[in-house]
Amino acid sequence: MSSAADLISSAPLSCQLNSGCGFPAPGTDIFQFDVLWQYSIFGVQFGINKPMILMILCSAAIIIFFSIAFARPRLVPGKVQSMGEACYLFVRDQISRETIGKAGDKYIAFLFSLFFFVFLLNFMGIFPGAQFPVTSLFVYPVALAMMVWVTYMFIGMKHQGPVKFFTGMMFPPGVPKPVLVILAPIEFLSNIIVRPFTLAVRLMANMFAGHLLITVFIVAFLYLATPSIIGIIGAAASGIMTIIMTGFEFAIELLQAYIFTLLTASYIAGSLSSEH
Amino acid sequence: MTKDAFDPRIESPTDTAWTITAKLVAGMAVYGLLGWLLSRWFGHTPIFIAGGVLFGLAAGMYLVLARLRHETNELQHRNVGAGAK
Repeated sequence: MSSAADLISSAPLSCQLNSGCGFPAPGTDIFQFDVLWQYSIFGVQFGINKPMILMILCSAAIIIFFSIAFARPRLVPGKVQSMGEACYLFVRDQISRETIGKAGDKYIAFLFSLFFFVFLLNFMGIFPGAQFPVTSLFVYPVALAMMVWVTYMFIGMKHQGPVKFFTGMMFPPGVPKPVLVILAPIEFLSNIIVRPFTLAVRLMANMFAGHLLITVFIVAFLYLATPSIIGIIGAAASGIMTIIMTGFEFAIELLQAYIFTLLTASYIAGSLSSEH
Repeated sequence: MTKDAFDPRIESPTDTAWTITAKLVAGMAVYGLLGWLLSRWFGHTPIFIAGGVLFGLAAGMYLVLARLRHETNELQHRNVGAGAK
C-alpha cells in the first residue's frame, strides 16, 4: 500500500525555468510539499511537511507573545503589554461586542485565538523564508470551520434546547403546512452544511488565489529577465506588480482573518438568540 | 470600520448564492438517497433513483422560491413601515 509520502510528494514541474519550453506557469503543483519526516503511530503512517512546521511555529509564536504580554500585568502597561491589550481590545470591541454583545464575553477567548491564528497562518504567505500561506491548503480552513461548527451547534443546543434549535432550523417560513414535511430535510441539511462550507472555502479560495498571483508575477520576473528591450520592461513591470501584489495580499490576509472571526461571532450570536 | 460594510446579519449576495446552491444540492442528495433506497427495495430498478433526484431538484427549487418570496415580503413590509411614519 502506498504510504502517505508517495501520495503527497511533489512531482517536479514539467517545464522548468531555463529549459527552453516557454513560460513555466505555476499551477497546483506549487501547493504540494514533500514529506520531510515520516513516523507511524500504531501502524498508521504520518508525515510532517513544511506547512505543518509553519503551523507549529505560528502557534508557538502566538503563545509565546501573549504569554509575555500578559504574564505580569501592571496598571500602567509596558510596551509588550499594551500591544497585547490592543490586540485583545480589537477582538473584544470590533468583533465580539458588535455582534454578540456583552453576553458573549466568555467566547472572546475562542474568537481571539481564531483571529490571530488565521491571520498569522495567512501572513506566512508573504513572510520571508516561509512564503506559503498555510491556509491555502484546504485542510486547514476545514479544520477551523469544523471547530466553529461544533462550537455554534453546541451553543445553540445548550442555549435553546436541542428540540427548539433543530425545529427552528428545519421549518422554513412562508411555506404551506403540507409541503413542510417534504421540505424539512432539505432545509435542515442545507443549513447544517452551508455555513461551515462557505467559511472554509472563502478563506481557502482567497489565500490560494493570492499565492498563485504572487507566484505568477515572480516567475514572470525571472522568465523575462533577459538583456533585451522586452526583457527589461517586462521584468521591471513584473517586479513592480510583485511588490504591489504583496502589499495587497497583506490587506487581504488581514481582511480574511477578520471576516472569518466576524462570521464565527455572528453564528454564535445566531445560536444564542431564539430567532433563526 | 463601518458596521454596514461587513455586517454579517445582512446576507451578502455571495452567501445567498451559496445558500441557493446548497438547497438544490441538498434536495437532490436527500431525495436521490431516498430513491436509491426505494429502488433497492423494489429489485434495483434505476427509475426510483432518477425520480428521486428530479423530485429533490423540484423540491429544492420550490424551497428557494418560497424563501426568497418570504424575504422579499418581509423587506417590503419593513420598508413600508419605515416610510409610512
